[in-house]
Amino acid sequence: MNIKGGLPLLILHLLAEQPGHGYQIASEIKRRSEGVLDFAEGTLYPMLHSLEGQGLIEAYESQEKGRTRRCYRLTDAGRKSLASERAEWATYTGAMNLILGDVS
Amino acid sequence: MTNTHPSPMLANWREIALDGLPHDVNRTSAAEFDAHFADGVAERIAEGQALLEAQKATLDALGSASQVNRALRDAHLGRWSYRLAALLSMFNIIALMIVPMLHDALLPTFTHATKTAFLIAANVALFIPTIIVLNIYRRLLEWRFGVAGLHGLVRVISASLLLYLMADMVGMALYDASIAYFNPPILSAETPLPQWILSIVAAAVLIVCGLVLLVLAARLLKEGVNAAGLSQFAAVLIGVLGVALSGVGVSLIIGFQGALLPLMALDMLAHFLVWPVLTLLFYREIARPSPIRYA
Repeated sequence: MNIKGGLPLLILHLLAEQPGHGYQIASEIKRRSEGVLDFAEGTLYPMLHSLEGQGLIEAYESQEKGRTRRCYRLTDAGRKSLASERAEWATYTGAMNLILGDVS
Repeated sequence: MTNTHPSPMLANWREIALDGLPHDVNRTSAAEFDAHFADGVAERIAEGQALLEAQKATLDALGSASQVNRALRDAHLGRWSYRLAALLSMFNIIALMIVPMLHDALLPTFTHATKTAFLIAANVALFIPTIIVLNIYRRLLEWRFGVAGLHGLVRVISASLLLYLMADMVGMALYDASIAYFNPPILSAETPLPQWILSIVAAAVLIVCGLVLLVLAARLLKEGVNAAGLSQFAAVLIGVLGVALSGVGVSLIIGFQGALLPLMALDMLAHFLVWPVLTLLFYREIARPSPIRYA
């Protein structure tokens, strides 16, 4: 299933839990969604750079297995944005459920 | 941080994905893709896949290199491009208001040649930003919304606008410059040629340019350079320009000056509708409050 516009929300949420690099974020999305949420992993990096450009996340360098990795963490602005977007998401899915009912 | 020797399988993908990006972005992103690829291959080998199989699966998971390239361009080059387009659109709105005022201020004191030169310079000053904005709009559609095949369409629109501008200039050079601002089109008394010759030449240029625009519009409708309805929309606009130019030419020949006023008014109305919309569009793309959308 394609994530469409939901990728930035998932990135912010995962980085709020724990800073990490692109591969970790991509793996977490696939693992937690049990492979249902699928996306081209290469497009994760432009999205990370875009969020960084908007000041919602910041990059830093970290050593991992003897290699320098570019990792990301949430900024204060990103935390506020995440709270607001989660509230909006809850409203959105709540409204959808009111119409669709229990589809599980 | 930079891995200068990527896997041969990744190298081609990376070259496409990073094409045309600034050096520092290229370097940073290359390192990220290399590390991502290495992690993916290592994980798949640990799961029992052979090296080649693991490399191919990891590359497939990265997705289309062209799509990644468009997204990277949008993330790194889009912001300043869209800001420039918003500023140029605003410049065009201001210029459209200031040029007539300046022209009116110059009208009583300067010769026809000076006024014509001023109007030609003003038209060129509006044309250049128009072409730049048009190309940035193409980038926005390609990079952010994935609309492909717009180069041909932009070339046709640019050529049409240039043709329209040239016809307008010829009209202004042969007629009194005040033709552009709803005043009666009086042939210049400073020109040594007989006025009927000037009138015929101006009308012929306008009609021919108008017909060429109509042919371009018809071809655009027939062939459809791209999907998404943009070709049809551009064809309608170019067709309107063609009808307007031909209409002015015919009205010069038959001596019906009443057609000029509504055509000029239509031209100005189109400008005052298009530029504010483009300014708002590009500002919206720069200062979107959130990148998160659900649909």
